[in-house]
Amino acid sequence: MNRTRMLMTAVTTSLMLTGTLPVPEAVVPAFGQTAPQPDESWKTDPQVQEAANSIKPEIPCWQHSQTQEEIVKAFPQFDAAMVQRSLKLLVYKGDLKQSGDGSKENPFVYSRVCGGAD
Amino acid sequence: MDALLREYRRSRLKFFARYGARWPETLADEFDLLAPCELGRAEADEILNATASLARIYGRAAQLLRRLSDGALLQMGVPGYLLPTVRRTIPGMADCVIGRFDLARTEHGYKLLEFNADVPGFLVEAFSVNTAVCRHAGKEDPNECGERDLVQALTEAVQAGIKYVGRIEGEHANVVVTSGGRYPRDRAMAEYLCRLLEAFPAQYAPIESLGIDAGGLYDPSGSRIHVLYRFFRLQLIRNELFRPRGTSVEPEMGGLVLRFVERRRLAIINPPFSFLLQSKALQAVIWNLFESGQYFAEDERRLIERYMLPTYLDPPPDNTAYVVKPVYGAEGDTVKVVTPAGGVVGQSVYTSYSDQLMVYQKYVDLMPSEMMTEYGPRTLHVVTSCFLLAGKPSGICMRAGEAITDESAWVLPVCIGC
Repeated sequence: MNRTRMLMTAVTTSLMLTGTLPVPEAVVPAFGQTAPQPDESWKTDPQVQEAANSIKPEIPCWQHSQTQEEIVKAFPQFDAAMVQRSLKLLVYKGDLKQSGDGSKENPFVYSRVCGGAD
Repeated sequence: MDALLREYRRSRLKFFARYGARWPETLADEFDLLAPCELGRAEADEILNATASLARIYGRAAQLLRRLSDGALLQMGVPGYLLPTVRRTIPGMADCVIGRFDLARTEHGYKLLEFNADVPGFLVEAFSVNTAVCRHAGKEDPNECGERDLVQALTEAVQAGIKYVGRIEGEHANVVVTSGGRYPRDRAMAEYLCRLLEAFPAQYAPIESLGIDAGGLYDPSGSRIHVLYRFFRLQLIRNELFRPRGTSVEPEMGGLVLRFVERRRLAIINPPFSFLLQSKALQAVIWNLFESGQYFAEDERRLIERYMLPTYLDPPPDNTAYVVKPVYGAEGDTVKVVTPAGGVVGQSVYTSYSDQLMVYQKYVDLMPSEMMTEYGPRTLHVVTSCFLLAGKPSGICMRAGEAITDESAWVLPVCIGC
């Protein structure tokens, strides 16, 4: 229950600081538990953005879902890692849907998004 | 059985031939709508009561959210670029103008699955379509006053938005409803809202057709927009969605639109705060405060116990089946049902949100029942929903589909049967 405990510590600390909850004798600090941060450079890397800009206009033409391998073949100007990062960016920005888990048996497959409302 | 299926198909075709043209792009085809489900008046009242109770809990949770540190919001999965804007309220506008609670009907009453507070869909189906189905069937419509409530909630929100950007009464204000232009169903919903807002009036424009510069957001004719109703998720708004006017605009998530809201040059509906209410991590916060007896009053704790499900950011401590879902997911994407032994018994096709923070919510069965479809009888799972319109429960709707409800689900109209 590590994540839950950390979140609730942050929530109760905020509430204590604003006087919404009484302060107990010893307040558990919400800090000092720094988890390793994942590499999120793909969100801001201009080269990834450029590759995504090249792939995005092709998406409306897709008649069916595309595997990562198919997309890599369709964009030989980018290496596989760059395509992978730009696909991640397009999923993050809501331009693509992803299925599969990225394993050899169940590779990532990408398709067009059908709507924005939930 | 063949005769029953033929009769079912004939009846769906007849309804669609008569009414289908009213909702182009909303219903995929004549069989998108199932035959109406009859609810007892007491059952409909229970759904409205559950919604009102949940609205009360979320109202209290909203007070709490306003006091949370940036660190706590980040731990709830709020993207960093939204932090400067997301607590912002627009005076006179509800924190969530149009929201929808998704509920599961269980042996122990209705339980909240999630609150769609940012960009809820199914408006046309719940209000316009449902009314036509009930009239056609000669049945009472549980959402009879729904469209009126919707107009009132929207009108008040737009008026608050106009005031927020400094327009005085009687001065022209440019009200735009937008959606991604490539999504016909969202566009149909946006155009429906434009019709409801004809008093202002409101115009529809695809988001890609809107212009942007350092001074504001503009409709396709170049007039500055004052109030924007968006069928577009807050976390996906970014500079590069819009057409730059004059000088180019650097790509940036959130970007200028959020700054226009901060500087009172633009009001958006739903307001930014609705994004915090949408977080499934908030369900975990509410449940854990309930469990520890903190923050909520005794009567509120009773409502949480009655209408909410145990939800955590980690697999639950007791050996129960649970559902794993992303805090800011949508359309049943990246959802998994896990058994007490850890086996996956169901999962959505899509995995688009697998990088997001996940919540672990106690699994409740969406009680399966046999329903006639165009393919013959099918065992389907029903999600019951009810809209919350500026704090007022109004508009019951249902969808029937697989154990994990996604965009493939049928629309199940609702009428009062007895």
